[in-house]
Parts: sequence; C-alpha cells; structure tokens
Amino acid sequence: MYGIQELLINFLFLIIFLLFTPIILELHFNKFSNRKRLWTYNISTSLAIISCILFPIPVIDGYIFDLRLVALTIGGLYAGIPSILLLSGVTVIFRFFVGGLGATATPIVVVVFIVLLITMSNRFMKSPRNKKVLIGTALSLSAAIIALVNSTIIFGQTFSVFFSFFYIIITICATALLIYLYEFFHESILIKKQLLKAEKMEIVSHLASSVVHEVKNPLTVVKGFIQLMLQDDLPHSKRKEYLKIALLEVKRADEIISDYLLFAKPNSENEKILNTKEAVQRTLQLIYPLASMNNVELETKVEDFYIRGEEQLFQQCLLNITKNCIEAMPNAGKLRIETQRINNDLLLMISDSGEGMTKEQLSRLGEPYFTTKGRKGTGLGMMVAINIIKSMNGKLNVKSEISQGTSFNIRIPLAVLDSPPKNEQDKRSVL
Amino acid sequence: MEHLSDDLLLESYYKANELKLSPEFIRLIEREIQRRSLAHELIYLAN
Repeated sequence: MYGIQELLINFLFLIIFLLFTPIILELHFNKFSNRKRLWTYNISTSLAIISCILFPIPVIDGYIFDLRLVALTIGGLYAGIPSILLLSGVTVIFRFFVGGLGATATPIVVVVFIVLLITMSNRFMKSPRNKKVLIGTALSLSAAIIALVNSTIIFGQTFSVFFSFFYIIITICATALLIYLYEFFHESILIKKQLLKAEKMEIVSHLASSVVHEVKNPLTVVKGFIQLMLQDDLPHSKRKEYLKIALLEVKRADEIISDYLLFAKPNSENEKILNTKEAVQRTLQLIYPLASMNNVELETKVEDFYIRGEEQLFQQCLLNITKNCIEAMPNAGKLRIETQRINNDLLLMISDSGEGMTKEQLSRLGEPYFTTKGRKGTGLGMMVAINIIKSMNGKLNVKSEISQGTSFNIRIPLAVLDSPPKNEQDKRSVL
Repeated sequence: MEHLSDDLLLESYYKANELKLSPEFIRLIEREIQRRSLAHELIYLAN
C-alpha cells in the first residue's frame, strides 16, 4: 500500500549504515586512523545510498522514490565537503546503472542539492545538537521538495497528494530521528571517555595525599639523623652509618615520587618500535646489583621481538616487576626471563622462585598502596607496571604459589615491521 | 631506618629525646624499635 513497506525497509538501511556504523567507529575510536575512519564512514554511507536505490518505492514505470537523499544529507553533513562530492557521485552513477527515466532526473536534483549541502556543511558541524537536527531536517526536506518539483515540472509526472505528503513526512522524520539519535549516542560516548579521564585524575589526586604522607616519613628520618649528626662528639663510624641511612631514605622518597609522577603523567606520545631483547638486557643491567646482593641468579632466554611502545615506560614496567621478583627472594633464588611468540603476540615471562603470594594477595595485586613488602614497599610499582602493560594493549597474567614462586606472563601484540628497525640497519652497515 | 644497627637505633632514640628532636622522628624510631621487638631493651636500659 503506497509503498509503506519499502519506505520502512529504506529506513532500516539508514539506521544500519548511518547510525550503527558511525557509533561502532566512535566506540573503537583508538583502533582506527582518521583516514580509515573517514573511508569506512564514506563506504557505509555509499552502501546506505545504494541499498536505498535497490529497494525503491515503485511509483510509476521508470520512476523510483526512496530515501537516498536522506542518506546523502546525513552522510555529507557529517563527513564534510569532499565526502559530499564523493557521495553525490555514487548516487548519480548508481542511479544511472539502475536506468529508467529517473536516471536523468537524479543528476539535476543532486547538483542543486550539492550547492545547498556545501553551503550548510560548515555551519552544521559548529552547531549544537538541536540546531543540527534542525539544519539536517531542513536540508532533507528541501531535497525531497526539489526531487518532487523536478519530477513533476520537468519530467511531467503526476503524484497523488497523499504520496507526496507521505514522502515528505517520512523524509523529515527519518532525518530528524537519525541525527538526534546519533548525537545522543555520540554525546554519551563522549561522556564515558571523559569519565575515564576523570577517574584517572581522581586516582591521581587520591594518591597525591598518600604520596605526601609516604614521602614525609623518609624526610622526617633524614632531618632527624642530620640533627643527630650535628653532635660534635659523634664518632666517625656512627656518623657514616647515619649518613648511609639518610641517603637510603632520600632514595626511598625519590622512588615514591618518580613512581607517582610516572603514573600521574598524561599519556605521552613517544611511541616507537622496541626491541624486547635490548629492553630486557638494559633492565638486567639496572637490576643486577640488587640481584647479586640477594644472591639471586639471573637466567634469560630472550629473542629479538619487536613491540610498539614507549621505551621509558616499558623499561619502568620491567624494572618494577623484576624488582618485586628479586625482593621476594631475600635469601637466594632464581629469576628467569623468557620470551616466546604466540600467534601475533609476544609472551614475556618473568618468574621467580620466591615467597609467592596467597590468593587474597594475588587478587589485590595492582591496587594502589597494596604491598606484600611491609614498610619497604610503596605499593605503587605493580600498579604502575599494570598500567603500562594496559597502555601497550597488553595483558598481564600472574600465577603464584606460596613458597614456590610467582610468574608474571605479559602478553603484548607484536609490532608490524615495514622494514628492519633503524639501529639494526646501522649495525649491518658498520659490519 | 631498617638498616641501622640495633645499638645505634637505641642510642639514637635516647639522643633524639635528649636533643628534643621532632616528636615525629622520635615516634618513627619508637616504631622501628617496636618492630624489632627491642622494647624490652629500652626498659632495661632505662632502668
């Protein structure tokens, strides 16, 4: 009856291609580059236009009506002027292949409409939600009127008043609803993103007070010992011991602050390709003195794997985990670092033969200020390490058994290499 | 503070009290003494 069914099918296509696809793109914002996103959006809109034309409302022989102009309006307004031209091209060309009288009418309608779209597109993007709905609806209404006028006056078709009215109403409703829904979802996604940021800031500010507290104790001790050292009759050996303690406490305060700063720092952008082998070796160099002090044997089986990340952060992550491992073995033990490839991921296994953790401790691992090391631990290291692994799209899996040891399994996606990394090439040219 | 020898820790405690150093510092030393279960020595020495 008057093609209501077809119009509703058209509407369904618009919902799928113009609402779902952009929302999914928005949800996975980080996974796509800007270019990819634009192209996916354009292709999706093109599909909307094509499927609208493929399932038209047959009115009179050779003449078809559908909601392709709604798709063109919304797709064009959101994607900008180049996309408006591209999508118009798609509309005209595809309509031409379908054939019939309308194939020659479409270019006229589209050309007139392009001018309207382009003049409004900038203003549309700057408008708030309600105004966007208004501009979009006005544009698609004018498109519908242009199409109707074009076919009746230039091509001499006659349409029933009911059909014209129905066509205009559904065009207006579809446009208004789609823009409104998209804006609504877009806003809630945006709010969710801001919430995540706010949550991090909340932790940062929550930590700030604890950091101050944690730093205050070492400072009090340092101050006290310096005052004790001011005594004139203090023997040299005792003075030296005080100095040593003061230095250790200062170092402790320093560690707490740098861990905190690293966590509080907003995500910086110095990502590059890292060689796991080099990173592990550098970590071992840093950790070696501590290991030998605890009689810990180091064992590595690490190959050249390349991952994407920030050098300093990854280093910090490895350092924090290995340090924890060594500190879990106060009286000798073995620290093993191994790498392995699983599909497209790197599996980095760091295991110790230390004290291990209970199930309860394991479940609290990574909580701020949770530590199994008593006063010696700050309870920030593991949390920082977990955050770094997350930022590299990695996963951390920890297994632990009391008095058997703990193993940290880090899984990070391998980087796709276009060419061997620079330093590798340099080495070769030197050789 | 945990690396300080027991003797020096106790001595520091007395000295800190004697020199009237900050109460927080004295409290931290006390806490360390408690942690090492040296409190009885404290009483013994105080006598």
